[in-house]
Amino acid sequence: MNNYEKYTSSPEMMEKLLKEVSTKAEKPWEIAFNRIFCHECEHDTCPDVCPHEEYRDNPGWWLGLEAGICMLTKKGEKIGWYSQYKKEDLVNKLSPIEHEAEEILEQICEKRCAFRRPPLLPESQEDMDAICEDCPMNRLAQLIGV
Amino acid sequence: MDQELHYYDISFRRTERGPLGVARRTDMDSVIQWLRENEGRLNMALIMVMPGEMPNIPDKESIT
Repeated sequence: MNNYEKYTSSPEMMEKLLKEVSTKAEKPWEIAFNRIFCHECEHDTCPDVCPHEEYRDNPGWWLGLEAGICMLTKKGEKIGWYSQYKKEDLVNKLSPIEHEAEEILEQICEKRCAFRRPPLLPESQEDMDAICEDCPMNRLAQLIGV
Repeated sequence: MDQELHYYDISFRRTERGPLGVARRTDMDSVIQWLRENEGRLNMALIMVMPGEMPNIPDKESIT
């Protein structure tokens, strides 16, 4: 049994995995909690007065919702990259990179780089090329293909 | 992926803020042919290799 099979064997196993995942990104069960319970809530002193506190930061509760069930099933695949709406989101993110990243990187290199002007300006083009070669902006440009 | 059944899913935009269109092709030659037919009329095209059999859905200029 591989890890995928192990963790998708039951909602309980998936819940265990999700609780162990450490991420700075907003968790889907937190998003769901906010949309379902916080949307029209008038209180601003949560969690003291929240009647739904047991569901907060609770991936087990979220896995019981349709969105959570989709994650564990083939239906989840269908609403993943098969979804044009999800692709639209990706196109929205990639399009500015495709069209604007090169210009932005050029601006950073030409106007912001300290090595382009004294006192750090290299004496030779070879020295400048070496600095550019090691520059993280150069690596970023290669990474996004501009 | 090369040995498995797959198809190519193309999501595209004609203009920067235009609607998202969709096209699907069974092989890379057909994708290239599609790109040639649309040369100069694309702002962005995202081509993804998708596993499985190609859905029998006609090309659409807009999904919205």
